[in-house]
Amino acid sequence: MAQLEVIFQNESNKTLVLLGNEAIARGIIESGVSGVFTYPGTPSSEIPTTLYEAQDFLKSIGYKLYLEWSTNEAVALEAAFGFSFSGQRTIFISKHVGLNVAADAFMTLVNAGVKGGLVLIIAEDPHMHSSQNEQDNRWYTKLANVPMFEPSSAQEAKDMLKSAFELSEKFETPVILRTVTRIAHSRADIVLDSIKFPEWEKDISLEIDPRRFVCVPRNARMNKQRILNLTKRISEELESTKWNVMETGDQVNHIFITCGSAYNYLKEFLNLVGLNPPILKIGISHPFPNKKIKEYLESYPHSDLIIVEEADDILETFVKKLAFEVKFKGDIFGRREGVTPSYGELTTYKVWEGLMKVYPGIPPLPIIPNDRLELLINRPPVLCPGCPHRATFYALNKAVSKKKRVVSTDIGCYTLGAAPPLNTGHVVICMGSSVGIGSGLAHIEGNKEPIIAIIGDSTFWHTGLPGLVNAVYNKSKLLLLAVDNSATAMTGFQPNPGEILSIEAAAKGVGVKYVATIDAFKPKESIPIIKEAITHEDVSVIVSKGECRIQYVRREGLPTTTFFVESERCVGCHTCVRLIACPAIMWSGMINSKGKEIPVIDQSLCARCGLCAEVCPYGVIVSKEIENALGD
Amino acid sequence: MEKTQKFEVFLCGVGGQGILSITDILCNAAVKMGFRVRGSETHGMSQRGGTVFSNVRFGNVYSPLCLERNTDILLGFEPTEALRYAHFVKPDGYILVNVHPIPSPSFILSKAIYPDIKIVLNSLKEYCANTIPLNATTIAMEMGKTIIQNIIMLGTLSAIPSLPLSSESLLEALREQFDPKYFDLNKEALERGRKEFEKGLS
Repeated sequence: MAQLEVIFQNESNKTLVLLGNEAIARGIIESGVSGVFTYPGTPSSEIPTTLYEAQDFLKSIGYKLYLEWSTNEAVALEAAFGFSFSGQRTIFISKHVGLNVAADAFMTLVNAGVKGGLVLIIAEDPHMHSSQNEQDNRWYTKLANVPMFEPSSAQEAKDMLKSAFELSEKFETPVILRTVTRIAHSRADIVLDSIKFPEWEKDISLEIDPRRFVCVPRNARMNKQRILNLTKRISEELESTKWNVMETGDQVNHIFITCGSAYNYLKEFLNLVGLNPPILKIGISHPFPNKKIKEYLESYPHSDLIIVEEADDILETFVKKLAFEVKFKGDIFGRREGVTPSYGELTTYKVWEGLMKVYPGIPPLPIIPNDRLELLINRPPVLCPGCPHRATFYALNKAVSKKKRVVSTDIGCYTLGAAPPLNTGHVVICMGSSVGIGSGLAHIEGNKEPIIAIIGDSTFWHTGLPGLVNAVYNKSKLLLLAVDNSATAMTGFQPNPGEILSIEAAAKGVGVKYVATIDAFKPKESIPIIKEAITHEDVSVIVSKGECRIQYVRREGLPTTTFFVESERCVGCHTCVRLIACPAIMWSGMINSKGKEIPVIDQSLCARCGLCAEVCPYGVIVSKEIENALGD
Repeated sequence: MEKTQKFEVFLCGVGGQGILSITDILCNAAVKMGFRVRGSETHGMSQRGGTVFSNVRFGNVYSPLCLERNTDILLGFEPTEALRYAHFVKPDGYILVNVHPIPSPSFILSKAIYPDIKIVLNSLKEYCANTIPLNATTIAMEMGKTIIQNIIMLGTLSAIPSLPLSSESLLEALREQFDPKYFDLNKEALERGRKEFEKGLS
């Protein structure tokens, strides 16, 4: 990743290699944004994180930026909306499902509109690299009637931001900029534009018209008409936009319409096979560019049309409707005709595969041999060596049998505990859902097994708290195990309210009677506390504290005491491997006198937490000063 | 390299092996030489101890992702991970593979045996005859720092004759990537890696 003073240098026309999200962060500063409101989520997290880390630098060059890690996306959007009454440019950033959390605020504020520029950057994750669902948020634009920019590259994403703000300010409407993983986490050469420093007036008198912004039915009816009229005017404005680009070509039997990331795979493929057909790239997908597409179809009356898009077939649905209206004579090939798959991420290979079905004369696909599959080893993401969650879950498993409990877990690193051998999760659907689902499970009368809800610190503050209030109010018999690692670790260590707020105090404050704190790295002491907590007739809360090991080691360095298996004493019971499956514990290849294989701790991976020494029933995993151990 | 041509490297291994630093260096060296650059990599949840890959493409490119059977070089930091992505390399390209194995916890739990490295190498050769094994991890440990295994891999890659990146641009990108106090060690690791290429060919 590039250095902050390089990313935010006050230069223009320079070329830098940037991560897509770094380029977008740069675009925010080039657009003169004053307020950023966000909750981290992959693949959007590096945008606010880059700005957050650059705050001191930006201040030093005289750029005034307010950046807020909001407790969740609903609050973030509400706060962004509030801040935008300053007339200053304001940004909301979230991952695709974050807009679901903010959807209530979003749907109505679109109708009421804004007084200052407000752009929502929403990052989608086709193929669900780090997500619980695959959702095409372009549907939201049809639902809410909100303009959407769809960049096909990081450069476009950065540059479109400025156009998005101009549109937002001119029409007093929020605007969405949609990215996907392969833009957010892409790298490209990016040409810088100059930084625009926000100008603040000393005294601002806020003018907020209650007839528009108090969304009671009478005003809401007016706002509904407002948005309908506005959409027409925005459509007209965008007829000549530079972001819907027509590329002429010399092979006109087939013409293409594409948008966003799909454009890259299509271009890559056409280049590779030496084809040069016309392409219309849609950069602003809502309001739907009827006029532009109509003109395009009418300029190629004897061609067949191919639509290439990633995720849902939204462009295709509206293009086909329009083609019917303008009586387009050619064949139209899209999702239904197998040009693109209906889920997952597009690739050049998939575009090639799809076009084989509809475009005559395309060379055959590269053949991929599959003879290596039996040699591959399964490598899912796992809890890191030294992770406090592993230690907490070990204690939980000792206290409550894995076979006699129901565990509703939540979203964060600790979700990974659901895999064997820890098995700490039967169900998870969305942020903060562990307590709500747990509450429902608790009221199933014939169920005799204890209900355990697991939640992380950041997720607790995000949307866990209302679930806890519900569990107290409705007397749900469950244990909420809050695994507090003092970090929002999965998304890259963004701050959260846990820095100054206490989960224990919150639990007591809303009326939880049994609240206990345990040390994640002292499982033996925790076991009786967990055992007691599940006997209570209402909701009980245990907060397991243990700092994220990555965060700890980055700050403090590795401890000088490390852990070794004394191979000559190891009986080969394999308890350490079976119960905690730490990535640092491996097979040594050595066999003991009883013919059992002996595990070894890989010192290059070990984070020196000592959990394995606690777990070993024979005490053969021992601590040593690393200096003394080097000779071993 | 002609304007209409492209060059691509696919890097893969396990989270924490320094793959993203090498991605940075390759991208920056390519931009220094005036190439258009496109790449993409693994972030977020999948990073935690899981399989990690990164695409580096430059020249006449649009997609941030490599195309199967079309990639010039596969840089594998772990043997079975190299094999997982071997279908990206073109048959007349190069596979450079660090032979130091890293088993996964679920694999250890299953008590399966890590495949014989010779069998893995033979399988890699089925995809690409120019498969060059080296033990970057051992060499790095000998040099006193396991972490520089990635620079050793970069050194081996830099010796590939078809690579359109000059050693000056690579060295400059390497210099800019890390704290200046590590530059001498990194340069030594780069040189050490280069020698592995010649060894691998013989």
